[in-house]
Amino acid sequence: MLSVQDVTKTLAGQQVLRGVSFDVPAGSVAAVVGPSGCGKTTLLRCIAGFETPTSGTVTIDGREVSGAATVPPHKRGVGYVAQDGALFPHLTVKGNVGFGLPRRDRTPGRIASLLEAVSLDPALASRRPHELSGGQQQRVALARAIALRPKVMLLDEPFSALDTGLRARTRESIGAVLRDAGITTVLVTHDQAEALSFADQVAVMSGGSFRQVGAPTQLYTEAIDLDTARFLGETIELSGVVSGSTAHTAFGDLPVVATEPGEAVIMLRPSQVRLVRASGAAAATVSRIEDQGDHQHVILAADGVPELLVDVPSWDVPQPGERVSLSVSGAAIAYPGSPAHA
Amino acid sequence: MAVVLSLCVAALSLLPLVYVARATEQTGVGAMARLIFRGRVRELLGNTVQLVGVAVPLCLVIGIGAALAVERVRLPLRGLAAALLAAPLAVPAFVNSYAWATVWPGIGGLRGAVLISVLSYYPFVYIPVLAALRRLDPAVEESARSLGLSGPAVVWRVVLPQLRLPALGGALLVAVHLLAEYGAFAFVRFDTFTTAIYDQYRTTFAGPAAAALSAVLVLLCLLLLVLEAGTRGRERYERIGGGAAARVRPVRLGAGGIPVALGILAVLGAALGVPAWSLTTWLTARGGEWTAELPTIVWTTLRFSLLAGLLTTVAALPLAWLSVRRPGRWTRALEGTTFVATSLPGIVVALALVTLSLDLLPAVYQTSTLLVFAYAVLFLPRALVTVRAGLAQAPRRLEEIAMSLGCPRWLALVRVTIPILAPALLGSIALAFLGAAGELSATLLLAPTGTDTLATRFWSLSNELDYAGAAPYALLLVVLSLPMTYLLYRQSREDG
Repeated sequence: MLSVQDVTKTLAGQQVLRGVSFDVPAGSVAAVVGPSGCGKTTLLRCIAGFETPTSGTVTIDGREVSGAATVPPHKRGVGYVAQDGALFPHLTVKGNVGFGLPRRDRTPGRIASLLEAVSLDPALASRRPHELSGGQQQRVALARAIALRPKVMLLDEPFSALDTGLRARTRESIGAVLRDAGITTVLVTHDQAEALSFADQVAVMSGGSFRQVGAPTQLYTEAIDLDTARFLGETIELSGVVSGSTAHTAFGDLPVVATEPGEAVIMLRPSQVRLVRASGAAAATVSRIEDQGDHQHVILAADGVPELLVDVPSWDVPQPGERVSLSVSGAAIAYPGSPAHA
Repeated sequence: MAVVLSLCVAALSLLPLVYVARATEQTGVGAMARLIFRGRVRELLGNTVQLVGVAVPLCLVIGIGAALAVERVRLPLRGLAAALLAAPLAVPAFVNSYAWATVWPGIGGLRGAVLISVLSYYPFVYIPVLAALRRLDPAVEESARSLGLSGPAVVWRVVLPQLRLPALGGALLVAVHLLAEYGAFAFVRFDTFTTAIYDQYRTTFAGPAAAALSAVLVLLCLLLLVLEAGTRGRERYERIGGGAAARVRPVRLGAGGIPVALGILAVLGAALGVPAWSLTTWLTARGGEWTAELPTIVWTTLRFSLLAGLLTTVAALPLAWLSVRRPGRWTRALEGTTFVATSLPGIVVALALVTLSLDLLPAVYQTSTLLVFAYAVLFLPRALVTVRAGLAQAPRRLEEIAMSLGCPRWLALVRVTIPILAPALLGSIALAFLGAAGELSATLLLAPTGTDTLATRFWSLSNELDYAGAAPYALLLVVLSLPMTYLLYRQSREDG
């Protein structure tokens, strides 16, 4: 449906995009996640047609819109929702939502149904943008964009201006609207949790190119390198030696996804790890506990290596000095490099 | 295209500098130096230094004092007093001198010039200081009190230092006006560079002597401009956040409030009461003689001013566009040239246009075209500020969104950018219109022979000592200045 091939972009002498390629199947949701300045917004602007790629092609629904010929933004059928909604300040909600519609289609009924589609009260139709809350503005911006039934919807960090509770709710309701309408969507964000929970397909971007593209679970559990793994969520990192599918660490032998044997960083997700109280073959000693209220930081010590921090539910906490071992669901992943410490 | 247009506009606003440079070149540097380093120039310089040296500190004392009084002392009718204290800005200085000459026929010399200057220009200090006072964070003063300072000590050691920047900015604005004012000083027979240039022009036309005086005046103005940039350059960007809602509560002075109230009444009486009394006297003296030529002159003034408003705004658009949409070093430099123009007196702009038009395009000399053009050069900076603020409300993003909703670029401009910009364009037209309607010195030099505006007719009548005949024109000039005064005062309140 949406296909980006080898797109590069140079802005003011700086190469912002260095050969980006990805495909988004019809009706699915893709997310591009990366730190600010990585080029993700430029990529979105190239798809929308606000910028022309230096090289490469953009294809929408089988039609090449950037490449040999350039299709101007207003003929691409691409909806765009910006960070702060970018509502037209001189128009009412009604005027904003109906902006792209032909004059005869701007009926109160049509406007009301569009507002309902984004769970807004149609009574807001005659309000001005500055009389709305941030979440409401964002939803009006979405209603304005879906009014034209675009083939592709581009969302440029549309939730980052909202506060935490509102962000999750707005995200869910907007995601549902887009999926129900079957609109192919690309979300750009710097928030990995948002990308992983919103999209069918996530691309991790840094320095103007994609590090890794895949389904959320795949990325989280099989990050291509240590930096990507750290970017996508919290890690527990140990030094170890891999042989076959076992990693030998100071905290005991752990199952690992088979890689080249030798020294490596063994990465686990906190949710994979459980502490088992064991008197016999225990690998570590609890050195101290830090109370966090709903859970406890248990700091483990083993001979000659830095401490390791494991979260434990507040209801079953070992005592300092107690001997424990690590129990791992699934397998750890080994990466070259050196571990980061808690 | 915007770049080319902006370059043209910026170049035009520097025409006075071109004029001075050309005159120096034509006269020869040696001859020019002889014209500059002579007794007459020294005398004018002495006058200017005395005027600025006495009037500016007095404006500071009255401006800051009045702002502190209405904002920090509990007085009856505080709100009304605060607004009225800004109102003298609506009485043009040359109307003020006419009003004072009515009650004090012997007014003249440095004393007269200082009196008129202070009464006409102290609001340039008062308004920004009042706005700054309202923005001050009460917590700072409370901390000072908790550190053992008395009330007056807090004002001296905490409040006044925080008012330094707006007060200095206002003081420099007063100085710029003192250098540029013609009518008020000519009326009280006090010679400054501006009045001397005009006299020179009347006797020897636009000769080298006028150019030499202009060169010195331009240098003085540029000096003030550099001072101004130095004091307020940074402050503009470091505004205190809008979050500070709390205001310091005014103090109750008891009997001590009486001298404060009397002081405010004295200022208001001198700056507003005298003009009001004089105007009323003259308007009723001969049964309010509104002559038959009044409608013609009003129509001429409206026509010139409206054209000036339109031309100024059109000229400001490309520059504003560049500065908002393509900010950068070059754009800032272009903008900078128009701020040089802010400080250049109307008389020099007019003289430059007289000489340059005679040399290069004689057909436009003594036409309304040249006059309107001069207004545009003079009022471009204030139009630019307004248009730029309006354009900042219509960022490029909104056009992009409109394009993603199916509008071609031109339609996005028509449906989004222009409607958002419209109020600012109207505001800019109004500001230049009001400026042109009250402009005296440039109009005296450039208006086509036999054509009068409100300002020039008022001027010739009052110079012929026909004070009663001049009164209706004075009244109209005050009325024309009211909207601008109101706007400035309101802006200062919104900032707080």
